Amino acid sequence: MAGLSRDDVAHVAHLARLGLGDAELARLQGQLNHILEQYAVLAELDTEHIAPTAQTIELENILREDRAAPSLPVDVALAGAPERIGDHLVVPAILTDQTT
Amino acid sequence: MTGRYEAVIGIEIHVQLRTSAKMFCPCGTDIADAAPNTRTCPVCLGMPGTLPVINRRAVEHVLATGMAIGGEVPEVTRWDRKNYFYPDLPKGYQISQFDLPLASHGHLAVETSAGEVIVGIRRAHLEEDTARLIHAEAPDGRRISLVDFNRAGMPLMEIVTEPDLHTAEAARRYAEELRLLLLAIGASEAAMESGQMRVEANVSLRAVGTETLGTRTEVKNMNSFRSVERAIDHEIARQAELLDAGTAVQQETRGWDDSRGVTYLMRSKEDSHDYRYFPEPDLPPLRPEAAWLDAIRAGLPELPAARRARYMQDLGLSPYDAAVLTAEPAAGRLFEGALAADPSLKAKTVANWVTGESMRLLKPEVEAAPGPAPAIDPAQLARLVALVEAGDLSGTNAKQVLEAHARQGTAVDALVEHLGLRQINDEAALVALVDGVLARHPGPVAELRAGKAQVLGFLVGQVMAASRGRANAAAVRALLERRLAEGA
Amino acid sequence: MPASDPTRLFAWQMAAGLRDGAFSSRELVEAHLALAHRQAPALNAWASFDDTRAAEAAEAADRRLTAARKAGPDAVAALPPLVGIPVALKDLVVTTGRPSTAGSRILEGFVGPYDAHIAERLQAAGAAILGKTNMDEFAMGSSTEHSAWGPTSNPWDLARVPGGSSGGSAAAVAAFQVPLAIGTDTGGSIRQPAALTGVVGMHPTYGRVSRYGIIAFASSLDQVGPFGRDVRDAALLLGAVAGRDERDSTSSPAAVPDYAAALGDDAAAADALRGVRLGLPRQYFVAGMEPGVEARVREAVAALEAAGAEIVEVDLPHTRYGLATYYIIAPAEASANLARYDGVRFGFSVRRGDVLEDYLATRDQGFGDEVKRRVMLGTYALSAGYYDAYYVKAQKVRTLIKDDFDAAFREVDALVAPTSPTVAFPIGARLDDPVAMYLSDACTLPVNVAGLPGLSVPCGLSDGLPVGLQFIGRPWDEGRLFGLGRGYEAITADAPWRALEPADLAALDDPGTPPAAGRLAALGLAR
Repeated sequence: MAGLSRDDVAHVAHLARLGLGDAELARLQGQLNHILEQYAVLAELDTEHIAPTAQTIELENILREDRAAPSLPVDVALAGAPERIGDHLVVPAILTDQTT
Repeated sequence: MTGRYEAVIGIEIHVQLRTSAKMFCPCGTDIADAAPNTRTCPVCLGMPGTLPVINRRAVEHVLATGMAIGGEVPEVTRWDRKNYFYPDLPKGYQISQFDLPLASHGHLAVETSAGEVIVGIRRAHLEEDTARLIHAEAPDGRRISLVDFNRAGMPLMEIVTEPDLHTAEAARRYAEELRLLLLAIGASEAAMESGQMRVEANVSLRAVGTETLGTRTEVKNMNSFRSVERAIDHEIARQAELLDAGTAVQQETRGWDDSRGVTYLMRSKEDSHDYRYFPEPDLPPLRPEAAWLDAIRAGLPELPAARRARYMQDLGLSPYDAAVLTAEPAAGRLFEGALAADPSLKAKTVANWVTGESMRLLKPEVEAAPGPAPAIDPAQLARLVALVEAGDLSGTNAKQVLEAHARQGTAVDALVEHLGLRQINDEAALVALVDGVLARHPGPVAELRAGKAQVLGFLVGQVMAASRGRANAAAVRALLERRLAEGA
Repeated sequence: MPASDPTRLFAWQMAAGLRDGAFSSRELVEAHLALAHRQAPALNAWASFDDTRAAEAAEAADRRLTAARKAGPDAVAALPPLVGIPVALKDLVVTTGRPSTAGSRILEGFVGPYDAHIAERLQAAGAAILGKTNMDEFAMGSSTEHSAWGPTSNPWDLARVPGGSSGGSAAAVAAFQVPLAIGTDTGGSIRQPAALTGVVGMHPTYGRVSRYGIIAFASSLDQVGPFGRDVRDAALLLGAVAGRDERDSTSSPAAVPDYAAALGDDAAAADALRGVRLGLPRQYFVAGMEPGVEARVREAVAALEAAGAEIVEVDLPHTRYGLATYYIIAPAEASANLARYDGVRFGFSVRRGDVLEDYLATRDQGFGDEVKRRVMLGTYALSAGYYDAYYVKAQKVRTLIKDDFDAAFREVDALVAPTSPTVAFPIGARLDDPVAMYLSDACTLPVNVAGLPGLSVPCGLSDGLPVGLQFIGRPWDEGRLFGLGRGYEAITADAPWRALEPADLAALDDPGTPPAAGRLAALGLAR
């Protein structure tokens, strides 16, 4: 697999919402590419007919009954909030689309 | 739209499911009137260390919906994380379903002015709702958003159609019919105005006779069925205008401004979202067992389409009555209840009493009048209809009795007796009333005899007045004619 | 060291002493806290202390003990094993009203609004929680150097790392500051520091202990486990926290045996080794393994064989793919698990007036280098166009690695292997080479990838530093692993190295010892 370019690293950093500086981007580019080289070993294996394992525990159908329980008092829920007005938590206005 | 384009429309609908607790935590779902941030817990706030546990009832609602649309249930399903950052998404990912939805490949038939349309439903899956953002200005003038996490983690079903729709009317009808279905199976309250049901439309145009899909736009913020139809119609016209002018349609998200009657640009050309879906490691897979599915299937009520068909075919109701009784849950319950209370009644007659007078009395503006909200007991309605049918209560007095019952809750028989409204059918009593009127009105009698036929109505009215409305009007008319013929 | 010093006792000995009235829980708690506070600068094993609640728990335990003694032997026997025993939690176990930072600046100021399942269990069992221990940020690391609060030292050599990520727990237990500590193990984060500090640590089967309230690193790999200075202590602690919790959908309903009660005396434990079939995985004696480590492990295997265990060489052919598999899956899951640290609802937050700018700045300043590196890796591995090549591929190789173990366990009862290819390395030595650091876990992370239980017990010293021996078992076979570890303790009870205490204990009490938190800065490796 081809290595990560500087733009790739910047794009991934944006997806992860990490506001990295230029020096950090440069350092990470080298480190990530070095790590990705280690991943290349996986390509040796033919896994076409192998089922993926997402979880090792063999549980299924773990469900909760539909019963409501008391919620947190609002002052506990918002105790760590950087800013609140009344019982609302406050964030700066969302001026641009950021869902990408 | 000019006749040169065909619209291709797909609809995505999100509905909040009717449960007591949220999707993955035990917070209550009674958020409608709750103060902000009073229905939250560490789980739905995305606090460190918390884990989701699936609400069984929410799963059952989606499975039931899948069955009701004739869809397929997967052998095994699971949840996935949909990753994106937004202040309304506490965990930074939404637990949703990506490639193994709980229901797929269903359909829903809807009636439109152009005939029946079968809408293919691609999938229905279960996910969690986001928090509510309110845009505001801080006391210091900053533009801010207020966040209320009560809605975060509410169980949400997303239902996606195939691009099978071609008119705004059909899209609206699909949304209406889906709402009826969800109400019938109890999966959701599906009230659009309160955001329990959110409709989004993907709209594109293509030249008639071509297959290639045009560039589509996504239309949002439609808060009523009427606005669904208006917004899509507007969007079709807007795109047709662009194409006519040789301008390309941009792939974008547009909002519906109901007061101005236009769609506006919300988000320009979307970068392809990279949601980085992957299987949710905190939740084991779900393998719906046959017995569970059987129980859900057995619990399904009669669905709207079947109910309308039964009303028309088995009970002989008009398409209008069938539609109204199916569309209005209160009407349907009253109708079914009255018929069950007295199966000897004619369905058509009961339906008339329900869709006419009863619905008028139960309308919100009537309900809003001072005093307790009006209510009609189905068995009492049946009794009322039976009295009318037996000739023991006049139609006019029956309306008075029904209103009194609806407001006071008093039994129909008691009202009839108390108000002295039992219809007079006794021959001797009627003859006495009629003869009395004939004696008191020699002038009109003479006019009648002279051939002025319309005077009969006056005399009938006099008899009815004398009986305080209780006399059987048809019998009075017949008796008047007989007595006059007899030379009384 | 005075013979009466209760900090030198094993927890099971403390339990007996508490029941006999030889000392009170209050005395135990005060002795441990005094030591831990005194040595805190030199060792930096703790993120926060909770003297107040520890004292309250001790008082409550003393009341329970007094009442039980009055009521008679049956009441004493019915007391939970950990009544009055000091315990440490890793700094990623959320507790009500107390900080949990997971070693990260981004959780600075975060105070738990609820109790983790295991915290509830320990409180109900009457344990006295002394505080929370230092760790690699979000459990990402093998050295405890990646903590926002500075590195933890190794009591055997303060210039060396204690391993990680649960290095604070391991170091505190090794330094007698607490007899029992909770850790978490995602790729070796309990077993590797246990090996490097000469204590016992177990990674239980995935699903054995509830993760509710454990700040997540990689959800399909994280497991909670115990540290103790002997096998019996580790078994006691696991028994106190294991079991189904309905708030963790991946917690197992499988019954929890009384692990500690099943362990016999030395004679019985040694005898139980007879006839056990132990697999020695050829692939675990990797290139880069230190000769001293290999020698100690082979000596331990020989001792087991001499005691009657049957040693069989086995192949785990996909072992060499474990590292890449792990370093795709764990960062991928972590990239999502750490998305909640956005400065919106709690913790560290930078406000610049625009949500996007705030996200970028909060996460850039709040996370350390190793966390950013792994979040980047995971985000990349899941991103459009690479998902199949990395994430799906890794999940498939995960199946192959699991199949290797399944095949081996058809032949043998358990596996025996090194825990870490090296002894404790100097602070700063691997910071600039992430891949070298990742190799620390080559022998432990396949066990996490397969979700199996693994136990590390000390098996001697190499160049004066502890070496760990790892037993790996079938799912839910923790009891057998404890039995093997206990058997190994029994047959080596008289080994001279067992009498040795960590070499730098005295330096911990020397006021001239430089503070551990500054050791990286002193090396010019400011984090």
